[in-house]
Order: sequence, then C-alpha cells, then structure tokens
Amino acid sequence: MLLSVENLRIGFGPLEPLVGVDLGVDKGEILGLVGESGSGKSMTAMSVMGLLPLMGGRIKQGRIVFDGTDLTGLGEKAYRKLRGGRIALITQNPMTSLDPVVRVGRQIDQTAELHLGLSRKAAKARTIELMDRMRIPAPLHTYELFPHQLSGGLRQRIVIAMALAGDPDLLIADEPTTALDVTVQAQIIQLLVELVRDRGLGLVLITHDMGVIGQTCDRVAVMYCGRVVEYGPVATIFDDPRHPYTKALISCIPQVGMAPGSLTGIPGMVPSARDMPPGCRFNPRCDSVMDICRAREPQINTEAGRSVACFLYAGDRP
Amino acid sequence: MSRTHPLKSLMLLTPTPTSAVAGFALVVLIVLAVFAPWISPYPYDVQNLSIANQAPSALHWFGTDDFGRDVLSRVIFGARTSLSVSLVSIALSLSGGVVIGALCGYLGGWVDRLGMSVVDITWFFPEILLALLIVAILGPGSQSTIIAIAIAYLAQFTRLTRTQIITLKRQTYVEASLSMGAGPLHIMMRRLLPNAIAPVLVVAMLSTGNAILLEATLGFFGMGAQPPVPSWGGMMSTGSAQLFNAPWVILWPGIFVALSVVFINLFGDGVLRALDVKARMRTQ
Repeated sequence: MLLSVENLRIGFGPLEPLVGVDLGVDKGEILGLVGESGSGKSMTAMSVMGLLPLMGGRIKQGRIVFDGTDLTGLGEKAYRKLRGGRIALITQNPMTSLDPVVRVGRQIDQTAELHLGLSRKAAKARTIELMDRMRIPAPLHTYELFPHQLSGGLRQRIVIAMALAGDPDLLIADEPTTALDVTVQAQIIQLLVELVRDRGLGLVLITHDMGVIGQTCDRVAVMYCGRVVEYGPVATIFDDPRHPYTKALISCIPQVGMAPGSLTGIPGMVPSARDMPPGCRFNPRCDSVMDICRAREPQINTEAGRSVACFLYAGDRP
Repeated sequence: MSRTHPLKSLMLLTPTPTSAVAGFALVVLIVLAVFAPWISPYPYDVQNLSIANQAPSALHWFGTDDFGRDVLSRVIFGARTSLSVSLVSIALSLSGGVVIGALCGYLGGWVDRLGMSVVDITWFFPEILLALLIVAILGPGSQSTIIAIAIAYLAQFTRLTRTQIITLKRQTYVEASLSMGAGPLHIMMRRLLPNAIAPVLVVAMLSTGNAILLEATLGFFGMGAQPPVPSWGGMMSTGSAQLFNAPWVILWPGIFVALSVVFINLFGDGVLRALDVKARMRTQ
C-alpha cells in the first residue's frame, strides 16, 4: 500500500470530527472518498497532509502510513518536504486556490523550485511542459497570465499542474470539480484518471458525487459523520450496496429516463459534531433502523475484501 | 487577455484626469525640491536688511521677509525640508508598521497581544500631542521631527497590516501553498505580503499629506528644522509676526503646504480607485 490510514481518530478540543477511518490506496489506483458535507472527507485529507495542527486539531489515535513510514509522529520540517514533494493536495475551489497577484506560471514554478531544487529557468521549462500536458492551450502565453484572466476549468488545470510540479507519488483531490461546469468536470476527471494510469500515481478522489465514483474509481470508501461506514471495490459496492447510507446515496444518482419526481433525497440532515445521536450515527435517518442501532455503535465487519459497519450484517448480531 | 504593458499599468494608476494633474503637480514639486540650489533665484540664507519686507516684485516674485531674504527661494528650499521629512518619516512608519503588523497577524498569541498593546499606546494620543511630546523629549530638529511623525503614524500601519494578514492567512490559496510544502517564510513573503500591501500603500500615500501638515505644525511651533534652514512651518511662524504689514511672508509657504496636501490626496484617491478596479477584476 502506498497510503494506508488505520483507525484514525482526530480531535478538535472536545469534538471528534473523525472517529474511525480506515482506508488504503495503492500506486496506479483511484480511491473514491464519498459522503455528504460534514462527513469528514476533507478532514481526512487534512490529516494526511499533516495540516491538522495548523487548524487546531490533533490525531488522537490511529496511524497514517505512507510508503512504509508512519506520518503521525513526523516533525513539521520533514512533513514540509513531503507536502508537495511526495503527497500533493488539489484544493477544493480553483477560483480561490490560486494567489491573485502572482502569474499562474510562477505559481507552478515555485513548487518545482521548492522540491526539486530547480533554477528559475529550468523550473519554467518544466512548467511549460506540464501545462502542455494538462492540455492548457498556448502554455507560453498562459504562463504570463494572472488567475483572474483564466476560466474555472483552466484554473483547475493550473492547480493540478501545481500539484504535479513537485513530482508526487500520491495525489489527494478534494472535490476538484465541484465549482465547474458539467462538461468541464468530465474533462478534469478524465485528465486525473489519465495521470494515474500513465504515471502510476495513487489518487484519493474526494467527492459527493456517486456518479463520478462509479465512473472512475477502483475502490470506494463511504463516509458518514467521521466514520467509514462501507469500504470495498467499486463494482462490488455498486452491485450490492450493504449499508443503508450507501444504498441511499446510490439511489440519489439521477438517471436519464427516470419518471419526473421519482428522484429521492435522504431525509434528515447530517447531525453536527456537537450533537451526535447515540449508537449508530446514521440511525435517525436510516430506513431499516433496529433497537440496537440506537444503543450501540456497530463494529466494522470485513469479509471478502469489503467491509461495512452496520448491524444488519453484523456477525455479532444479538 | 494579453500581458499588460508596464506603461499601460502606470496609466491604470491614474484613471481620472484630476489625479493625473495632481500627480504631475507632485512631480513638479519634487523636482523643485531636488534641484532647489539650481532652480531658486537666490540663496535661502543671504540677508539684506535694506530690502526687508518688500512686497512681491519682478526681482523678488514672492517678496522678501524681515531679513530681506527672497521668499521664493526659501519656499523652494522649504519644499526640500517638508517633503523629505514627511516622506522619510512615512517610509519609516510604513516599514515599521508592516513588519510589526505582519508578525503580530501571522504569529498571533502572545506576540500579537504584546506587540499590539505597545503599538496601541501611541493610539491613545492625538497625533499632534504625541509628536510634540516626542520632540520635547528628543529636542527640536529635523531628525526628531522624523522620529516623532514616524511614531505618530505607526499604529495605523501596524493595525491595517495585521488585519490584512489575519484575513489573508485563512485564504484557500495560502492553504494550497501550505499543502505544497511551503514554509512560514515562503508563505509570508510570497503569499501574504504581496496581497496585503496595496491598501497599506494607499494609506501611506494619503498619510504623507497629513505628515506634511504635521511637519508644518511642528515647524510652526519651532520644533522642526532649525534656522537658518527653511521649512514651510518655520517660515509661517516668522511670518505670523507681520501678518498685516507683510502678508506674503506667511501666505506663500501656507499656499504650498495646502497645495501639496491637496495634490497628494487627489493623487492618492486616484491610486485607490485604480487598485480597487484591479481588485474587482481579480475577484470577478
């Protein structure tokens, strides 16, 4: 495994936005991380990037193993080398992820200068090449532009080029297409998939779009309220979803030809971290809730390469 | 969509005719100050009591003062004192304020509390009072005037920079930079300061006008540049004694103080508007 997160629990003061995250991604593989807003997807990304202390959080339990090293005990200096150099993050919103006063080309340069120790000239040559590979039209010209002169899709390509500039092994893309047009979304996703296949990168793709997961990922981790509730190969999970939350998410994918009004949402809302229901955290919204769900938290059951945290499939069902 | 030509971006700085005119007038004033020894018709300190207090004439355009010195020459040399003192003091104040404000805003915690409490002490006093107090301690002269004005304006630059940095450090592109492995120095120099500096510079420009007024005030009280070096404030002070029989002695330096403040403010307004436009283009 290139990256494996084991039983991760993090705390922000008394709050615990993540209580048990297990996932792994290998080289040349795409792991989808899916869930509603507030389920802990971005928090997981921040933990892997080692940016939790900056936000005021800390790791309480568990391990983050990257290429054989446990990152939880890593110092800030060593972490800084890793960030951008071996693990890169593609941030959520391309509209705000670029520095407004620096030419976009220079922003890509800076990562390369920082991690590969390139001279300014060499960095520029590399940047132009990277921009070309991102299919940015007229890279020599675009290099000199400021972010406000570019469209959303182009900006996202710049952000991806920036993430690739340090030659990382693992890419974490935090909702890379949320702010973009549907047509541009498809292009960006395709670009990311190509990168993974051609360069053998590992990719963690964070999204709330089950459709994107089904199209691109090898494996998927479904998160709800800080827990991975279901985890396994995409084909298996889509063919036979087990957790009621996964089922609900899949039924939320709109299909062409659906009867008008037949698209259903999931009733209720994600509870806030201050006000978690006892027992299984999904129980207030679950359509197959049982008494035990309100009393105890389900254990994770692993069988045949997939795991689910639900009493419906629990070996320890009373 | 093309890269803007440097000249074009300079034009962007002065979008209105008013601020262009003001900018030109400021350049003229600065040229006068820099080349004073070559431009002024007479030396500023040669006395000739036989022509004391003469009204403006072809020989002495602005008239002469009670020592028979040419007022025009003294006004031109006075521009040197006034402009250099106010520019240097604002530059000092600006750099001090930016450094303290950036550190306080970036580090937060006890550094922030300590730094800001010290700086805020200067905010309790009106600028004039504070400046007088400092000159009283240091003794009169150009140097103490510079220090006094610099300290009087320190708090506003510090506060503004600090606020900017605090807002900016939560921006996504700073987080993005961090996740690319940037260290604190890179974040500060490449991400935060370049983004924070524009409004601070505009305030600096507008403050320069106020600094000229403050310098003139201190000069008027006899706390600024010491005779025979002319300063506008000092000239007005000596002229006030003969306001009725030789009004030109106080009038001309007064007009120059007023004009330079007006020009700086008009020009600053133009720059402010230009930066505003650019900021809006960026955020769309």
